[in-house]
Amino acid sequence: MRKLLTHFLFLAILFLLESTLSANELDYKTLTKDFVQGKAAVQSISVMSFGPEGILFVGDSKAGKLFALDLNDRTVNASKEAFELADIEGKLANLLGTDRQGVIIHDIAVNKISQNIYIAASRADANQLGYWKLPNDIAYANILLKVTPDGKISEVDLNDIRHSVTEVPNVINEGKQNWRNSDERTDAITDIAYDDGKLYIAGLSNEEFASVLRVLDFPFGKTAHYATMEVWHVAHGKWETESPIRTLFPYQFNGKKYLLASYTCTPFVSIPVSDIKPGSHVKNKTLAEFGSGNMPVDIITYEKNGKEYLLMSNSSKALIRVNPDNIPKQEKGLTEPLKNGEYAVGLQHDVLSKVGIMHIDNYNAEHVMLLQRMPNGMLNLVAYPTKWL
Amino acid sequence: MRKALAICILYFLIGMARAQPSANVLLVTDETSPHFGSLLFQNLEAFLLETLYKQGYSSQHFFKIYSEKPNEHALPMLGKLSIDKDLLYFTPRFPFVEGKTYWVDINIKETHQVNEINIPIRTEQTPPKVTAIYPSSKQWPANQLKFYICFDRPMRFGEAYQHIQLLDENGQELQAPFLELEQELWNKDQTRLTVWFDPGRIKTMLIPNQEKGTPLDAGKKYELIIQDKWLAINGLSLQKDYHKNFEVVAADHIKPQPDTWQIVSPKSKSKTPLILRFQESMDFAMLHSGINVLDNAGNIIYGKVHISDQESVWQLMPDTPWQSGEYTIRVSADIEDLAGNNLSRAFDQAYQKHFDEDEPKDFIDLKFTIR
Repeated sequence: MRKLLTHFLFLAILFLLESTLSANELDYKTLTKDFVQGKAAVQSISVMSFGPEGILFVGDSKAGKLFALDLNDRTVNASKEAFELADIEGKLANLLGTDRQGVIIHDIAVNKISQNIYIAASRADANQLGYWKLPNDIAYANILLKVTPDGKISEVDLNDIRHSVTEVPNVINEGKQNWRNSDERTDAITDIAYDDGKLYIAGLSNEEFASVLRVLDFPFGKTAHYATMEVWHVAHGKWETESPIRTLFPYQFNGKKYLLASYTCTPFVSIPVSDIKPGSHVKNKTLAEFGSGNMPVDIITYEKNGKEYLLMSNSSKALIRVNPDNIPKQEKGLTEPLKNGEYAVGLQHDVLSKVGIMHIDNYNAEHVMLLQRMPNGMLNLVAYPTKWL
Repeated sequence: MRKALAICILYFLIGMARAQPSANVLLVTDETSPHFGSLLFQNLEAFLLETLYKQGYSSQHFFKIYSEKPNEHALPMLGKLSIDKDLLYFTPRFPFVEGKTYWVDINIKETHQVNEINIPIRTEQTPPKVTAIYPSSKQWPANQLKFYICFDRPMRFGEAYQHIQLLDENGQELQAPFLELEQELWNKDQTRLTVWFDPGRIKTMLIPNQEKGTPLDAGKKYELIIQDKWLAINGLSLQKDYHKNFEVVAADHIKPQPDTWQIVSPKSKSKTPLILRFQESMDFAMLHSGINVLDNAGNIIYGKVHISDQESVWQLMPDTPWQSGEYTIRVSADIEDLAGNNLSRAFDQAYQKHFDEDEPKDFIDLKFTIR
């Protein structure tokens, strides 16, 4: 009898697993139906983000395009194991034939299905990086690498890959310099996020109010539109339209979809998705000021003891944790400048004791992936337990 | 029997020889070759080439190229093997770095042979050079506002101020004479740096000026040193200090006076230069952007701008010959003399409009005729 029960349980679990997989498989097949095999003419891997079906979206600021790549990487890995790869710069330097100061990592993205980590990199002069000089300011990332959970690194061949590509509407022209001494074009696409058939693409346009948020349908081709953005910069004490969103994340409150986003120096805002209409101008609601002198890098959510949190990484600040329950409580947006002595205001948040972290992504059920500069100076890929965050 | 022994020894020797990796490796340095920048393996045995061919050249078993001395942690470089006319090539994913050493591990029959390959520096590289410092004059006013350092190639960002020294006539270094901005002021191609003297010490109404005085004193001599350690983007340093000696004359608090400027008109149907003389040295960078010549219909006359005589003479060599007619030299009101006095206002003048003043203009027009 007991044996029978075990059998039954086993079959039930198998059935459950099978049905969830096939839903994903079905989505994957529908979404990649029009993909073509061949060369994906990526000119710069400026930003990357995975969809739940294992499709990698690549924002290409140089070409002004968005690529969707089928990496043929859909073998389920349900492991909850940790992961650490020390000295990733040294390893990339080996592969790219240079020394540590000759490689730059531009972005990382984890395929949650397989737990393979993808890295956008360039062989460029890392000596040029600075507080206000991020990787995309120095070079265009031109190699995509894959790191498997056993730590093996290989190049993803973009010359022969199933993919789909589309133009990103209204990307800023090349030729003008920004205040950080970089070409404005490097900020044409500053972040992308995929949610339920839509791609949200932040960056700069040729509009008078240069900062825009674009919405594209995926699969590509049906519609693409954008709205210009305006944000109250608490630390600067003024409304601004020329600096782009640096990171964004789709999130739902009471059944309504929002984008949570952050700008340089570091306002944290919410934007109702329904406001991003063709040609509209959206005044963002500034929920918080996280402090000047910093550029936000990535936003993710993670679960700890069954409770969801937002996590944001930064160029010059430790990880920031936000309890999303507090967001709807912030009824009015901030519109006042900082008072004397103030640094971070608005939405309640925690600054965690994890420093030197540029990029973050979800890794597996119990870990998030960090690209972290360690106390010994090495840059490591570390899967960090969510229970400690 | 002896013959059989001899054959045995011969086979043994051949076997020995085959057991030794016999390939040698060199870099293709002929720029006209399609394999330029690849490694070429010679003396490879046919069986090896055949094996590689069968494996689609994908095997990294026989040849591994390292950018550091092979050790248990080092990963081999990414690249492609290919065979062309029975010769084997390795083309790295990114070009080999000039001046760097690479290690080639040839592993045939489990016997490793490690060769070092030094990548030569392609063309003889000369160190970067300071081509000029502006003002080029050897006399600077005591309220000199800024100067420009020009290089012959792009320089590295973020280390400028540690390489600029200003000495007084006793060889003592001046303390903090410059405005050290976190964002260094480079032109777009990073070949020209603008260095400001601390404006707080130049404006006579401000506290730094009243406490420390102007950075430069009239009647004294100074030496500006651009130090040899300054790096270009390609990693080469200047290697030699650059010296600029100047003496300081009285402060200049007077706006440039366009009515004293002299225009030398060119001749019609010629490409001789239009000459504008200012009677004093002007800010070098602004002379390049702040002056346009317009024809009677308001079209800009394009040509080459040449600045000479310690930035006191501006010349325009037109791309097409001058035609007779009326012309306008439109000078931006923002162009400055060495002390930052522009056409609207002296640098030291308080920023407030007096009731009896005219509205400041964006530019002034100077007319001339070509006959």
